[in-house]
Amino acid sequence: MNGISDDVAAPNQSLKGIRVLDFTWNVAGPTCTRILAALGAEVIKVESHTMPDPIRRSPAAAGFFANLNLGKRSFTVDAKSREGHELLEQLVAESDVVVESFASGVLASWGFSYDKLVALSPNVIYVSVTGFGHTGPYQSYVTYGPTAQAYSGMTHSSGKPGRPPAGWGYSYLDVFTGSMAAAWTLSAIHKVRFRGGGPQRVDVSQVETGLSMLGELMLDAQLNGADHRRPGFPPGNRAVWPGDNTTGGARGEVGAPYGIYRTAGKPEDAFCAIAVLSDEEWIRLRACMGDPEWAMSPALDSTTGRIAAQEQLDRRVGEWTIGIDKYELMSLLTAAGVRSGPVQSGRERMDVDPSLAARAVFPKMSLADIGEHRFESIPIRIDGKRIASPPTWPVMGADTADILRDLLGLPETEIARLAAQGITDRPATGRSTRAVKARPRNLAAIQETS
Amino acid sequence: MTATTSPRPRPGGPGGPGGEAGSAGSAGSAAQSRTDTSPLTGVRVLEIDDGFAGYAGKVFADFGASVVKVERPGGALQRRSGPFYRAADGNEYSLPFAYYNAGKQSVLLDLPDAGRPDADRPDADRPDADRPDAEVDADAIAQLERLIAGADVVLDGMSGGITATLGLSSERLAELRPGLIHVVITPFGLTGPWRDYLSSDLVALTLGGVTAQTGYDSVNGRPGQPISPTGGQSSHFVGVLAAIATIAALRERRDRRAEDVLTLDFSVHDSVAVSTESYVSMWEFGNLEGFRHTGRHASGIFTNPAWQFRCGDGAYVCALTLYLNDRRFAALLDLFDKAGFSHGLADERYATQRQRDPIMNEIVNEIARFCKQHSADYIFDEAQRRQLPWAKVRSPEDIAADAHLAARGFFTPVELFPGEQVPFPGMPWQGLPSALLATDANAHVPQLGQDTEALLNQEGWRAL
Repeated sequence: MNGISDDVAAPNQSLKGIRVLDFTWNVAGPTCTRILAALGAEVIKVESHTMPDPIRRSPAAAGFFANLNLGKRSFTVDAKSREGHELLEQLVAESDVVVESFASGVLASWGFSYDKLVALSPNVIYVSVTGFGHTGPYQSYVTYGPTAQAYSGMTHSSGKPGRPPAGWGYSYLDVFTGSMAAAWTLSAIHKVRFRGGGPQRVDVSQVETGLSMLGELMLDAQLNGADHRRPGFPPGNRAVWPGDNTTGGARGEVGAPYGIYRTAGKPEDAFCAIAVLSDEEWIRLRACMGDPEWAMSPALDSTTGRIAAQEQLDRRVGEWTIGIDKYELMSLLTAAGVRSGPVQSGRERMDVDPSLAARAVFPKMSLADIGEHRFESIPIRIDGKRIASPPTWPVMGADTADILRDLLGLPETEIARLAAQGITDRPATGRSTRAVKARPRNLAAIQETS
Repeated sequence: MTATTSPRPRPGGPGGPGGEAGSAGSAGSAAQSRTDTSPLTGVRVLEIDDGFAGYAGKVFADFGASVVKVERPGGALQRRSGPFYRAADGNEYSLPFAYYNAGKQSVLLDLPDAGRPDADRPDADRPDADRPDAEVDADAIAQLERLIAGADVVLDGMSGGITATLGLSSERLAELRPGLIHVVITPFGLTGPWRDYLSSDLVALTLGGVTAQTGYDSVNGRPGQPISPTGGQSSHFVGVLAAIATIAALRERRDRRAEDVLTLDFSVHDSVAVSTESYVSMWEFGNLEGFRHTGRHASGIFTNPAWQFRCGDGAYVCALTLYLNDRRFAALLDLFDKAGFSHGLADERYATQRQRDPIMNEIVNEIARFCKQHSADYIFDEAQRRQLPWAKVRSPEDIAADAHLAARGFFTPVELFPGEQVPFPGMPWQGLPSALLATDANAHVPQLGQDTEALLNQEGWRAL
């Protein structure tokens, strides 16, 4: 693969024989179906030439789109036309799973309600991914990742005391919700296969996904009436803020020194995490610093003492780390048994991190129209082998004819006619893809989960 | 493209007619117990966790698997992790432990702590502090082996893994339980140069790329501070991936009656490193390192302007301005006008998106001024009524009274502590109208070792 790795990869066929009809777009939904494709499912991504997945035109261009859609096939159809609709009905009938990420009610408004899907494919597993879900008073509300992160508490739980919420610097909930949706799809497949029992409907909400990732905070608020706007929460990069009257800053670990410290190097990215979780680890860190006199104070012998003295501790530790390169610092500390690691950008994860390289987390693949590039793997290693996504991506419409022929049994003349009439291909004359202004009314409400 | 397409006879679904329970009648009423309806009912998971695997075990438990948690003398470290709750029975319970372990069973075995990370407790507190570390109790290993023999999945989050730490080789595991799935979750995986390194939640989020992109906006060219979000997030993504791969493997192995042991190797670091949306693609395809900023989309450049505004009541709203197309701009003006807010945005200069984009700061200033005059709840309601993708930045205590979540039954009453029903955050999905998973009202928090005797000496694994 990339020379520094002894990586061995093998395609995974766990879901061989499962066909997924994929109406998702943007980030959250495609993350779900991408995982299913990596596990051997046949995923057919459905788009129309007038309404392609917006990520196809994202600033990170084909690369990010391909990354999100590895291993999927592309089927294009004008879903608004009578014939296009009939083709979709036939595809549903041949599918085990239907996944979509439109706003609540949109797919049903196209004539594909859950009941209709079941009528077409009796054991269908129907998975929807939205911000607020398909029921409840806010089902029509519109979200992007940052919206759902704000509403669920994810944004609030990140930041420094006395400062505005820091949130997340990207749509983490898109990635996580898509992955959760894949887990539920798999559990539904498992249920249908081993426990019998008819069609399944799974209504995934990004907001609820965010809430489920803050479970202990939710319980603390509900049972103890805890105030999470109190001074001291969230605790910046500390495990707990000095003087905060609770037993932890909701990281699942407590200790001091604990934080992100400045190191030598460019000010934007010269930072390193150090997390001391026990007295023994403090003694090790102290030794790394050369057992300076200030560190030998008995007041610092206990976790409680060190938490109380965090202002002083962090200043002193920072004065030491500022002179050391962040990777050197990690080497020095980890060799001594101190938990540590530098802040890493996308570049550093891809080009510097030796562990990710050795485990080929970003394997090179050669894709049609894109060439050889590195992509994100699904980091699952089975018996020593990384699972390899198929080295393909859904070039717009590239698989339409094959699917019409092989799956729906259409003759070549019919396939050509459908394309020529703009049912399955770009309309031959007139409107261009970019110039479409008059979108159907209900499409304006389509959720753009990105 | 290698086409796998071929039409097949229908109906049949994923498994065709081979399902055990033949009947198609799963249309679930909420009253059904989870043993009837849950997807993983009948799957037995043995969990050993030193911090990163407990969430994976929770996903299995939530999906209906029978999860037995092996604890060592003194109990899981998480039991001593706050915040705590004083329950009606007079005991104090760790809420993190409650959240991640409700519905699991607990078995206490006298296994060593040798490979365990240094605890966040003084060494003198350890029940085994005066015991030689390396000594492994043969009886305890025999007990563990008996449990493994009855398991479908061993969820191994022991530091170093049970193979290295307890000497349980793949061959031995295969003897004990042909076909076992051995799921190993470690900080850096079983291979690679960092495989023996210690980690932590903070370190995992930092190395994995979350912290680099998250934090505060730069001010006057001075880079803002990176921030690592709370909530113990590093164990979540790896846990979901572990559940995904394990469920997929269960299906495939049952179909071919596999007898070998399958080892699934998960690295917390690898998982976090692929969870950062477009930042990896940004570097690979655009040579952009990504920009750290507050609560916005991934971006390779400074995405002016801010999306987060302080409201009249001191709370914040996330008011996305990135997608302010003509329809949303009209909605914004309507929001302002109906509230009687005077603004200068009706001018021709703002008529089209192309005109607005370069002067977006002027619009943002008006949004900021508007927000100062109203509460965050008001802004959320009025904005979403007009299909503006905005939300209040809510704190956990804001969420308890949420009407939408109540209508969806997200917080379900569960007997978490003896005799005490509490609103428990559910799984973030609904199975409608055929319930995929009914709430298990008896998903209580296991007392340390409460199931040891039953599992080892009496009826064995819970009747399924």
